[in-house]
Amino acid sequence: MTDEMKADLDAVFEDLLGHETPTFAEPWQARAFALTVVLYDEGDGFDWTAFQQRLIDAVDDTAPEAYAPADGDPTDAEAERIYYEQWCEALERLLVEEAVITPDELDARAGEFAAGVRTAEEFVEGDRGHHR
Amino acid sequence: MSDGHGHGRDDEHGHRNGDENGHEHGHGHGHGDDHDPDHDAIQSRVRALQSLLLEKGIVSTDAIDEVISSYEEDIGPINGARVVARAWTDSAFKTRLLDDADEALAEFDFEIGAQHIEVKENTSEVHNVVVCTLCSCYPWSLLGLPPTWYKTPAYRSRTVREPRAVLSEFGVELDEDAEVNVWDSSSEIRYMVLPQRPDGTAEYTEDELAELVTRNAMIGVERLGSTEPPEALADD
Repeated sequence: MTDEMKADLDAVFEDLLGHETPTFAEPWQARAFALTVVLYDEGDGFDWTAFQQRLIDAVDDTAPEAYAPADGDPTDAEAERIYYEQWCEALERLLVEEAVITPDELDARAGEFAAGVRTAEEFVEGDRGHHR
Repeated sequence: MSDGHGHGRDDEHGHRNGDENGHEHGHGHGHGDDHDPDHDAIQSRVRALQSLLLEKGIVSTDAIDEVISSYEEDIGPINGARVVARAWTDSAFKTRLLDDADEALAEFDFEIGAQHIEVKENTSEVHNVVVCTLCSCYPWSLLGLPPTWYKTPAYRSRTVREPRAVLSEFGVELDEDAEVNVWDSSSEIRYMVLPQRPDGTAEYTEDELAELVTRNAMIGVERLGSTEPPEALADD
């Protein structure tokens, strides 16, 4: 890491120091976090250490410049987004590696949400009783 | 598992180097804009995960909603603050807490989950600070969600390399002969700092003491005694 990059990272830290963001910056971040917690608390043998290892890998894989974007000032929202993207990547990897889901079905389902064929309304309580 | 690392994530992670999605992108990345293609992509993937896990009967929507609302509304540093206040007022509890936090915390009505907690006591001679150098492990059940700065590469690396400099940026100035211990939550253990009880609080009740305890003090980047006396005392 160059000195310049280190200075950038330090600047990001200092910028964020005084900020307080005790809740989620975006709904999808809350969803990803809660999914993981529920899998852990209620799922059958969710291996937190395995999840953590994949989160460490995802953090490692993130280029340092992602934290200090050249195209704008770092913000809390940006830092949170990076963090929860790493979180999602770790969760996906774990679920795929443990054969809970397949990459194909995940890609297909994500495509349906992206296309608007499915919406978050399917998560609303009491909606569409025939869905489990 | 050849597929495990490649499926559909590279475009999101590598989006600063080139957008493979073929979306138009006339504005900046990922600032929470609803029309941002990166935002839409990750949102769709998370929804897809939830949808599939629901369909397989592995999770329930109720459980997920409950976790979200409890972390947004109920769980904050207040759980940790209650623990600290009890340790300040009940020395037998403090001994148990420092000796076996998991067992001592079972006395409270909140859920710790399966995280193992260790509590490290600050004294006049010893200052403890918590970090997770590898990712961002944090004692959620006690402190709620971690602050953004806790997750930054700078905090994660510098706290280990130059803890005094980092602490000084938080306004914590330590005596030169004070011992600084950095606790790295990189195993299954989550650490919490037991701050020193501020002077002038002998008459405080446990509840009043809990109100003095801040999240940062329990991470170890603040010393409670270093601030002005509480106004409640000055008024009396």
